[in-house]
Amino acid sequence: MEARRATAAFALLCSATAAVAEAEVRLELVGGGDEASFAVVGLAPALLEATSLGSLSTREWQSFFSVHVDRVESPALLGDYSADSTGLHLRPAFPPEPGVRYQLVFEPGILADLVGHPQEVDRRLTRELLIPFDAPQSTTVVEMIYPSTDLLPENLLKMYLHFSAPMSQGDSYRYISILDSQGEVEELSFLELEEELWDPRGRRLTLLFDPGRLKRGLRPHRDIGPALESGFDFALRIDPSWPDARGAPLVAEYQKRFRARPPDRKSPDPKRWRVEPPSGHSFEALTVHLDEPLDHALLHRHLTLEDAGGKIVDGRIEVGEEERSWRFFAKKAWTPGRYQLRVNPRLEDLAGNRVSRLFEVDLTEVPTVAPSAAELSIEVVIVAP
Amino acid sequence: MKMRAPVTAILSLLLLCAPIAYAANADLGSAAKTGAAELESAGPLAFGPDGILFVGDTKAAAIYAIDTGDRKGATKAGALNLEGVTAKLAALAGTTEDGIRINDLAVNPLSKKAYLSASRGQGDNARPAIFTVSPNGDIDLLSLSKVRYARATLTDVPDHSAKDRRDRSLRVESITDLAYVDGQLLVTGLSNEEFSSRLRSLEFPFQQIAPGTTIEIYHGSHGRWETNAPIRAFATYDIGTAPHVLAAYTCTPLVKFSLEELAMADRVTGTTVAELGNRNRPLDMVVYTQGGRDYLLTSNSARGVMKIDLAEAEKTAAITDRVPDKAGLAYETLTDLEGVVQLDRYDKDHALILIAGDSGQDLRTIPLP
Repeated sequence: MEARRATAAFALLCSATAAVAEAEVRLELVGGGDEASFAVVGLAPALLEATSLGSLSTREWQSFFSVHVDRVESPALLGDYSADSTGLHLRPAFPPEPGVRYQLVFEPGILADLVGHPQEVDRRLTRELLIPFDAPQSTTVVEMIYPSTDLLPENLLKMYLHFSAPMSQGDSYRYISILDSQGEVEELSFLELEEELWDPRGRRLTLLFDPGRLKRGLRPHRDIGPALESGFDFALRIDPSWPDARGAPLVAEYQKRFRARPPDRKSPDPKRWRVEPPSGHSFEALTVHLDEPLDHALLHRHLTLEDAGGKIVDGRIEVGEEERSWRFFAKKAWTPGRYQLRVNPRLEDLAGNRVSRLFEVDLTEVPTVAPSAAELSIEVVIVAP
Repeated sequence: MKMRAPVTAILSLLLLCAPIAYAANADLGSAAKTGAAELESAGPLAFGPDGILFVGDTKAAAIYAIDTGDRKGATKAGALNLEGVTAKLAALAGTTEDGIRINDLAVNPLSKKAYLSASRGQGDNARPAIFTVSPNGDIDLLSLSKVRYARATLTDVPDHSAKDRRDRSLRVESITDLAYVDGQLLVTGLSNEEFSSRLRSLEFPFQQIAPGTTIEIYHGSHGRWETNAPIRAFATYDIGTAPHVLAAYTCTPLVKFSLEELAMADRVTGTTVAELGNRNRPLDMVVYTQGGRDYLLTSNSARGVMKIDLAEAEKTAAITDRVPDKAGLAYETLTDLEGVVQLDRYDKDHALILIAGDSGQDLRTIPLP
């Protein structure tokens, strides 16, 4: 009895003029990505053209066509409703997500009432849709961790984790740990910031060691000391279950082993650098041997070469082994002459000591004089071979 | 009182004659655009005048000023309480609970609607979202596809820094907190390459070019060590008539400095007034007045919510000696507010919190302690 009534109603709905079989009314996912919409297709053209559809509120639309995550009882998805010649559409506010189960509900009776079909219809159409989740293959690896040296100061401030492809973000600290020589996890080593410090493409993460534990005078330093203790061995471990941006875990676990050395409380000193100039007219590198390993990222930014006219020379920077040297390859063959290597005073060593200022300044001591402009500029003479 | 009737009458007349003026847009300045605000991420939030919502787009190092149009006064809105809010947002956004991450909470002081910035989905599928929750519990999305907005970029200067293979700089200055004070938007940031504390002041409405001024803020520790660190959260308040900033650092000193000082220098050393303790990160701060006294309420990652008497802060000199236990200001820890992850002022006497509850996270209105 029930079924027969529903069939009759559907016949009305689906086919005002030409007969469209009930079986043709379907709930579907149309299109993909940001263009994807949930749809009711196979409805009678007369119904889809009903002008009253255009004036329905979201709440009214939801009364006859709604989509829910997992259970029909959960709140209906937000999105834009529309009708076109192919059917009724809900374009969700966010693209449907692979692996999520969606429940689609269509109540033809309510729609019929709203658009002016007075017939009593009570047949409800539902469909469960699971967007297939094709687990992507693991291809992403940890490419490099800086500092690259295996002897790190107790007051190490930063580490840079470089990945071969963009990573997922938001839960990073769960996958990173510092292990002591016994393989035990060192608690609270990092400054776990809500805003994880990724580069724009999500391939490099900057890890900050908790400055509270590094700074003398602050309670964390006094009470629990630094995370890394001089003379002991440690490992930075990257858990292989960390998903990349596509959702695939890393190819393998990664461990960087290192030993902690006494804290570094000295600024980098450009006066102690050694410059190896290239030969004129060549494409050789200009090499600067630094007095200590410096911050990998800042070496790409805070050393620049100017020609005699004060113009920045265009070229490519390579940071040498253990970040102890800086190599510069000019785009064009070297013109013999005088150049100036400019040192930005914000250049830092591994413990956050800048060229111009220590990470922590002891106010009870005689202040160290910041380097003069002349000291922040190193002359390089390139001669013809 | 007698004046009120004619003024109201004139106003109603004006409104009748000029309904457009009544629905007038908020002043976003000459940089205002209407269309899709293409946020890459939705992070810290703050309200300005006339229902203008400032959104920190951390990924793009930009600030959006969005005209929400949400200006309807609701001085006597009931308390906003909503259980399992994350699960509800997830359902509306077509995902499961772990697919939603709430980044910040701000209450529109005009309508008492709560605005929640979030990211929906992960990895390549992550999309920014701003949800609104009305005092009656209705949840909606703030449309970003057709909206009036102005955008300010935080990038300093074109830099010659390390580039990736597609020649894009790896450097990002992310945004940790925002506040609007008298025509200025204060922004604290955190660089992914330099460990420093920068506070930027942007004129609002945003100017076409000026990226604002930036200053570095140092703080002392026990009178001996002076350092620089990123500011995690801050609040503004007046000491006498002088506007001040109270900033909580990532390593938990609470530091105060005056806005006037900021305007004059490119480097400021603030006064450390308290240390908020070990193994802890400050999350949000709210300043309020109760019984004629000013208080600071701050939520923390590990130490619940703390209440600090600011009159005491004013009296407290810099921490000059090693204090073995409690450094600086005395504070009260409100243990019953354990698990607060977001906090904002709701009205004169209440705060709105996002707190871990039995069914995920709840939005709760609480009396200011």
